[in-house]
Amino acid sequence: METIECKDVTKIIKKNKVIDHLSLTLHAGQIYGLQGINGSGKTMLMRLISGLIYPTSGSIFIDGEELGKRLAFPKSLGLLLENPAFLDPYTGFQNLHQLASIKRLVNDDHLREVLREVGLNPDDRRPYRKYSLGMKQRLGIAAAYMENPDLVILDEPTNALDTDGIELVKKILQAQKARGALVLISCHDLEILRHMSDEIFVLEDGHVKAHLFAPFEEEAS
Amino acid sequence: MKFIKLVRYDLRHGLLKRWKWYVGAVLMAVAFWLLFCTKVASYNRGALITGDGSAITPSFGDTVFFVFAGMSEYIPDPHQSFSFPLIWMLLYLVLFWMTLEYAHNDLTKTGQQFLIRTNGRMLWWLSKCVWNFCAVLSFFAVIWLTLLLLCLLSGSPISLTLHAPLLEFTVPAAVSGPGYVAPLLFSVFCLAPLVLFALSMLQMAFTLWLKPIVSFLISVVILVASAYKLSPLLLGNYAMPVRNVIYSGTGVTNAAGVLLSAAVIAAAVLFGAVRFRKYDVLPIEE
Amino acid sequence: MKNVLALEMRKAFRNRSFLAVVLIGCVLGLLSAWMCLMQYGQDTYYFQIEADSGYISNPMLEVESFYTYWIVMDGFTLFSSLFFYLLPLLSTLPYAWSYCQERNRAYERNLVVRCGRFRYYFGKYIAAFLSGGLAVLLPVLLNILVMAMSIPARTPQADYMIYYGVSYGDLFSAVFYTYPALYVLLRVLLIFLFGGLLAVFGMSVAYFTRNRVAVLVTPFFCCVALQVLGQALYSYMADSALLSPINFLGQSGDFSRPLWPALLEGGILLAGTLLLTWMRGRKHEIY
Repeated sequence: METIECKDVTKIIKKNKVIDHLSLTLHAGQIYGLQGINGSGKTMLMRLISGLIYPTSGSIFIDGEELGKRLAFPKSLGLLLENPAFLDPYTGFQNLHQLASIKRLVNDDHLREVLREVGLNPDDRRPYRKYSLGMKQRLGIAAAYMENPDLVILDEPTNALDTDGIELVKKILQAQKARGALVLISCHDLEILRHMSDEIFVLEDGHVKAHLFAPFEEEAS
Repeated sequence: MKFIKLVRYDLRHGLLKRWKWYVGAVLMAVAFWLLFCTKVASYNRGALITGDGSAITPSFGDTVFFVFAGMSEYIPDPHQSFSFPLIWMLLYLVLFWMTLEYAHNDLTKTGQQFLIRTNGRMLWWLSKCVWNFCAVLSFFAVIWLTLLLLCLLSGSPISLTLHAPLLEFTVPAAVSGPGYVAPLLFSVFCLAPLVLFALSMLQMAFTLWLKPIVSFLISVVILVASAYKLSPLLLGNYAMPVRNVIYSGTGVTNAAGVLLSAAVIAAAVLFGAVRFRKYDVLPIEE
Repeated sequence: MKNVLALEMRKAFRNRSFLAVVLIGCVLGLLSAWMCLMQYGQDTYYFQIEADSGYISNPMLEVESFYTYWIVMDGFTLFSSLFFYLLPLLSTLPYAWSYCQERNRAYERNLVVRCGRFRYYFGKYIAAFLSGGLAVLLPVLLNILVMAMSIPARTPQADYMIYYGVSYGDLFSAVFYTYPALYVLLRVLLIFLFGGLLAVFGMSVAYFTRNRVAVLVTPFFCCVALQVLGQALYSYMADSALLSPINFLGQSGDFSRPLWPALLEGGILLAGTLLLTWMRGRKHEIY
């Protein structure tokens, strides 16, 4: 995947305009941050780009192909949207294994490695329902990048993580960027966002209010 | 004071805001009344043709008896299959569904906020018991009032007199005597709601140990078993007026019904209270 | 599609709900078999006494056949009545709730972005169908096994029609007196199909509600309501007495059991659920 282009995208849900004539272009090998207050449209934009919902008007193109028409979803996508969601009776490894079994792009050894990278024990026999919030978040991040997707979308990846966990996320994002993936993240912590992102889109009321490039000045917040 | 606030909350959110259930109950009552009218019409047509009897205008008592009657005793016989008392089962299954999830959902969602503020688990549980009673009673009241209104609109006499030949044809059940008003008053308007309250309380108590759907399954099994077997130990029998000893000659008695229901209610309240004292209040992951 | 289907099948058959339902069904099937065997034993005992005394010249042994006593033909024990009454619940409990749960927990999106909407929904559809069908089929097969090992499979005689409860116009009656084994196969197939269809019906309810209990009990209540409707229409249309799957899948007693309700309802369920699932797979937005 090389580019994602949003052209004049609008999304209306129950008469509320959650995305309002938004246009932006994203390129592979970059980390993009989405900044904005609650309700500014960050998560909605992520949903649109991931193909989970459709624009009311406007179009989203991935390498020239329109999403929602010929393309149902980005061909190679890793996603963590809002809270992580897994199956309660299974362990972390079993959950990842189930998801990986769909495309069969990676083997069990790789899954174990990914779990270690996010700070989880691949041999932990506890079922997911017994995980702490931080552990669930780590597993969600692992699921998002375990298959080395071309597009990685992470919504508030640092939620419920301690300082070690936050450092871990930074390292993982840099690794994804180095691999050539297009990374899109949102975060309430402006410090982290400025530190990790190459470009930041500031959203307000569903449209892009500002487009910032690294290095970012303090006034950007 | 806290208890009254809890009860008010439960009545508002558990009854008033769930008004759609009562719309369903009204529609069911209308459907059953229509069914009864077609059967009465068949009976009257037959009576005119054969000349064996005269046409009967059913009373409010006949209508209510038809809806809540149940079925007469089934004697197992390989050459006579068991048939369910359909109206009776549908009526009470809907009631069980209506009272199934409220307590469980409240506990795992917004009710937690009330729980921590009242500082007393028992108050929460007792409030739910009161809600359960009100839910059952209001369900019956809606059915009775709907039937009453329909009888008024159709010109049926508003009396509790039973017409034995008509009921033998429509229910069908052998109804002895021209019509015992007082026992009917009691078995339909008192005992049936009491029995259903007991079963509903049992179901609600079970949800503290089991998943709601499993509790519902148990309620269904109790209803089916009660319909199948005439036994003083199967509580559902007391909710079938047609199996009352007053009508059938052999059957269950009102006194036993009251005692057994009271015992089940007491057990459900008590065991539920004991269980709830140590209950882990965890959110549903849904 | 293959991978998604394999994943869904694993989830459908390796879960405790499926095992619990099969266990409950098997207990009911075995108890029905036990009661029927007791009845059979009693009947043959009395026939033997009467035969020995020279009192009876026609013991009607053809009536005492496996084809009279297996669970579908058993209409007099509590357990077979319970089994068929609970059948709509037994078919939804194993896996029909799965989509509702995954949607509520936002797990749906994890799978959909990997395999696409169509594959996800249809994979789940197939898994729900098979798990619902098998959950009610296995107890019936167990009952057949027990009864077939215990009671001779004497070919039914049309002369004793009133004892079998299968008369002209009844479901598959054309083969009951000629190829009774085929009759058994057809009835069993019908049970499997309706078990599956009721399960996917429950799953389709989840397209409209997030209430898991509603998903599980809606097919059951529809079947119960159909029973009442059948009774209401009986005066006008004698064939309608057994509209509900609860009735035509099991023993119906004195009522005629034609094929058209099964065909009509099966067709509606299949077409309706497939259409809803296809529509979902086309453009459903996932929040």
